[in-house]
Amino acid sequence: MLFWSELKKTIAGIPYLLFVIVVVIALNSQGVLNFSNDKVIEPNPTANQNYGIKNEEIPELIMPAAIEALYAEFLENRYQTYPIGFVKYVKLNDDEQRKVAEIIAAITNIEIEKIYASQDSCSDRNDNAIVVGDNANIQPDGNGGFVISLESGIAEEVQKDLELSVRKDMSYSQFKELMQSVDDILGGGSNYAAESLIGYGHVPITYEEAVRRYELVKNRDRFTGGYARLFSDYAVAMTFSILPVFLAVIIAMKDKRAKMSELIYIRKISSAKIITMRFLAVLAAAMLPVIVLSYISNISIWNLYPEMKLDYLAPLKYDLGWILPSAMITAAVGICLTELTDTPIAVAVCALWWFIDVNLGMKSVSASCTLFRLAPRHNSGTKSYFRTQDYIDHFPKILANRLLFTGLSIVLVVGTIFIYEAKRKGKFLWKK
Amino acid sequence: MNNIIEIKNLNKFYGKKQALSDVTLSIKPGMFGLLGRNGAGKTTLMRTLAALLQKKSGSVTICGIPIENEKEIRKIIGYLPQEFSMYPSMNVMEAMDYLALLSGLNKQERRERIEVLLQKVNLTEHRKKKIRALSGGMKRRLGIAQALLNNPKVLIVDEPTAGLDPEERIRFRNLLSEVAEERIVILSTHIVGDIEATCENIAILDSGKVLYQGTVHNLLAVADGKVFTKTVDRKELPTLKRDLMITGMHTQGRDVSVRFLTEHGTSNAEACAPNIEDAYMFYLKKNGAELEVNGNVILE
Ligand SMILES: Nc1ncnc2c1ncn2[C@@H]1O[C@H](COP(=O)(O)OP(=O)(O)O)[C@@H](O)[C@H]1O
Ligand SMILES: [Mg+2]
Repeated sequence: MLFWSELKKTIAGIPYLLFVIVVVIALNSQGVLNFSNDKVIEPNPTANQNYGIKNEEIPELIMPAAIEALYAEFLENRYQTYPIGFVKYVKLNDDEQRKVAEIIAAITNIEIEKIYASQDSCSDRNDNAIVVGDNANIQPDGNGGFVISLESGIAEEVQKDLELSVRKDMSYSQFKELMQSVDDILGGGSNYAAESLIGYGHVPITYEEAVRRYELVKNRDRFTGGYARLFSDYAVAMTFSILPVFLAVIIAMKDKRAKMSELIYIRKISSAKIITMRFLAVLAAAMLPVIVLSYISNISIWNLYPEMKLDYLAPLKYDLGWILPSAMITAAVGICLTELTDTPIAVAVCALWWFIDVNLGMKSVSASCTLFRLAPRHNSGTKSYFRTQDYIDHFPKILANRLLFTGLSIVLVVGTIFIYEAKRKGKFLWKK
Repeated sequence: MNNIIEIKNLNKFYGKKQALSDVTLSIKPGMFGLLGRNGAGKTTLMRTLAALLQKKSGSVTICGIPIENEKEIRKIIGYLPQEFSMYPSMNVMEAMDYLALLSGLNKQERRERIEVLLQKVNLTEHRKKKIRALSGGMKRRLGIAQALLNNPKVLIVDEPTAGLDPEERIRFRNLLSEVAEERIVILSTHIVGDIEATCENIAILDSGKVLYQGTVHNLLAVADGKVFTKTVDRKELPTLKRDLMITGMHTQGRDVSVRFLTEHGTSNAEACAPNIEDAYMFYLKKNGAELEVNGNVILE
């Protein structure tokens, strides 16, 4: 009963309307409201289909590709790393550069002095690049920094001079060890870390693999699952890791703004009931549009797979299992901090948290759904709805993440109940 | 379970500032008036009774329930804060229904109770009016109605007549008197007239201390023989103001009829019967309260 009253309070008015509009616009901008052009095609051996590429730990592929990439970064002395998820460009000092050169030398058999010297001439060039202008092409790299690429210059010439090839007697485990020591010099999080090297092993997907993949999509996801997952990924990252906080803050501020707090404090109702009902009302109000949108999105593919068995509940499953925990944590932070401080500070806190989390980016699918990610990402870009196996592999991680945030939000709500009860009794008076 | 409120040696601080000191009161069913200037501590005392504030020391029991038992206290208390409003976009019915829900009334009870109460406070025809569109007087009446939703044994109303016009004020007092037939009603005010018209038992609060507790009758008795009137020329007024405690003035052409208080008799003045204002002023003065009196009693 009280739940309906609180729901009505949350839904009535402009803020909620804005909430819905922003959710629709945000999701529409990511193209996840209509998948009708994204059919998963059944592999056909007779047609000349390209099934895409995958990463595999094949030393013969990885070693040359990795050493080439390392040498290129060495020349520019600008190494891309993701130590805590943020992209970070590392610049090494002379000592460290020398160590990297040593490692490259060890792997390639080229004299260290030669390698070291090639870097010298290149870095001179690099320092002048901005001034030279003509030769340099400066472009934003999308991370707030700039990528400077030399159109013609010594760097390239030098690179041509040094034909890098991995020593014949280099074993893969040795190679991995050496590359790992580069990662250590860089402070971790680079592409050369032992577990990241696989990124250099690109191989085309074979027909048999494509069939296996298709069978998983068909039997495990029943087609709809993958799309619902991609929808959830965006819904959480773009909207539900931040927006529900507004609804929570508004409902928690409402009594005070209406000068109604004391009329409510004096009532018989328990603090547990009033806070819980408000929390649930915010959740219901937040989830309502996203459930509708998830179905609008999912229905768009229902006729792509005639005569197939689809899972019509997939959107609902992912809404509740994947998106709801995000709504819970943002709403809980909102309601808790608002009751604690009587200010909308929670909006700033959530905005900051969200901003940092989104900037953690998606280095790789497996690294982006870790335990503490506010918005765990599971999105490998195009054809994500193909990646059932990835999802099966990462499921325990995602589950742990979602359970963590669900638990955390329950703790926050219980905390809020105590805060609210204390306020009712005038125990927070120092704030006046 | 008895039907009285017992307050013993109640102390309350806001930081270092003491807002109530050693307040001891016993309040019986009927209307109880709490009189005091602004800042006297009336609101503090009432909020403490409504379990909305923590006391520093002392004991309070309401109908036998210790104030620390907020859960039970909330069931038997109705409270009309000095300043309040409700969600502006709700209408009268919706706001009442929401508050009744929080008071634990079921649907049937809510419907009946709200209808009776709106009738009682004369708001039935405004039931669909938005809260933001209510006048000050209507809002106060709605305030009383909401405070009565749970049919409380104790109704606490904090300066309910402030800001009402004379007609509304009289109606409001009558409403309270009616309500007080079956429960304790504690009314705070800084307007003596409110008390005079409605309360049998009163307490005077000043600087957090109880200066007087008892019946209106006894309060008047204390000031008996200490109130006089005299007619003087306007020019004499400044000296008079300095020397006497003036509680009223009437100007008639060049002459001014002055009403004043004095403990020692006086010549060429006419003794007259004290009213509550006189007695109240007398009490404040006797207790060393700093008063600035200028013609009419100003208790602000
Ligand atoms: N929240 C508060 N914090 C600090 N001082 C307060 C607070 N509320 C009231 N006071 C002070 O306590 C005294 C009593 O206030 P109050 O109970 O509101 O008096 P009244 O209702 O009689 O006007 C006043 O001096 C007032 O300034
Ligand atoms: Mg007051």
